[in-house]
Amino acid sequence: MDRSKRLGKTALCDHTESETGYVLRDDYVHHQFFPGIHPNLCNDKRRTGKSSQCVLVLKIYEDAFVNYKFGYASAEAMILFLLILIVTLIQFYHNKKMEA
Amino acid sequence: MKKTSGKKIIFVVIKYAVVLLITISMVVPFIWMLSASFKTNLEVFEFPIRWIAETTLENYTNVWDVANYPRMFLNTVKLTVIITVLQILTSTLAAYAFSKIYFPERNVLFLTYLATLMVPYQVVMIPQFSIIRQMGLTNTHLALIMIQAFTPMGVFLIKQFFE
Repeated sequence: MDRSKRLGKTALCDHTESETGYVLRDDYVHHQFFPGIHPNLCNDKRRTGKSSQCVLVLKIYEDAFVNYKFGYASAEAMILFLLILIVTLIQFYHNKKMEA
Repeated sequence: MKKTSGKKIIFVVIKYAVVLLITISMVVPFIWMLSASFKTNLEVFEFPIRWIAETTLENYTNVWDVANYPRMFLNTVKLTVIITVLQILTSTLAAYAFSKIYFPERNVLFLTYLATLMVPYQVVMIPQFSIIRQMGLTNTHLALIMIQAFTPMGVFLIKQFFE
C-alpha cells in the first residue's frame, strides 16, 4: 500500500527529496527521530505554501534550536519581552484606574 | 540599646546569601540572552563568556526587516484572545451547573473532572497529537483553540467563587 495513502490525507505528507523518502511535514516528533530533517514550520513558506500560521514563541524556538541562529533568536526574544512588558504595564494602569 | 546577638547576624547573612543566589540564578539567563542578542552567531559560543561584546545591532535590524514579526505577533494575540474568551465562557457555564444545580452524582462528576488536573501533560501529549492529525487539523489554529478551550482549573476557581 502506498505510504502516503496509509498516512491519511496527502496534506500530511510532503514529497521531498531525502533518503527516507517521505517526510512528515507537520510533526516535531519526526524531527526528534531524524534530526537532519528540519520541519521548519515558520520559516519555509515555499513548502507549507500558506501564509504563516506560526506563533511567535514557536518561531523563536525554531530560529534558535532548528536553524541555530542564536543571536537572531535572542533579539526576537528580547522584542517579545518588551511587547509583553508593554501589555502588562497597560493592564496595571487599567487595573489601578478601575480600583480608584 | 538592644544588642543583636551573633547568632542572629549569622542567620540574616545566610538568609540574604540564599536569596541572592536564587536571584542570580534567575537573572543570569536573562542577561545572557540580552548579551547574546547583540552578538554574531560565532561570538555566542565563546567560552569565557564576554558579557559585553562589540555590539552589532544586526540581529535587531534583521528582526525588523526579514522576519514576519508583526504577523507572528498577531497570530499570538489572536490565539490568546479567542482562547481566553472561550475558556471564560465554558468555565462559567460549567461552574454554574456544578455549584447551583443539583443533579445526581454531581460531586462525583466534579471530582472526576478535577482528577484530570492530576494527569501530567506529557501523558496526554502524543495521543492528543495523533488525534489532531487524524482530524486533519495539524498546522492550524483551530487545533490549538479546540484543545485549550476547556480547563478544569478555571471551572474549579469559578465554582469556588459562586459558592
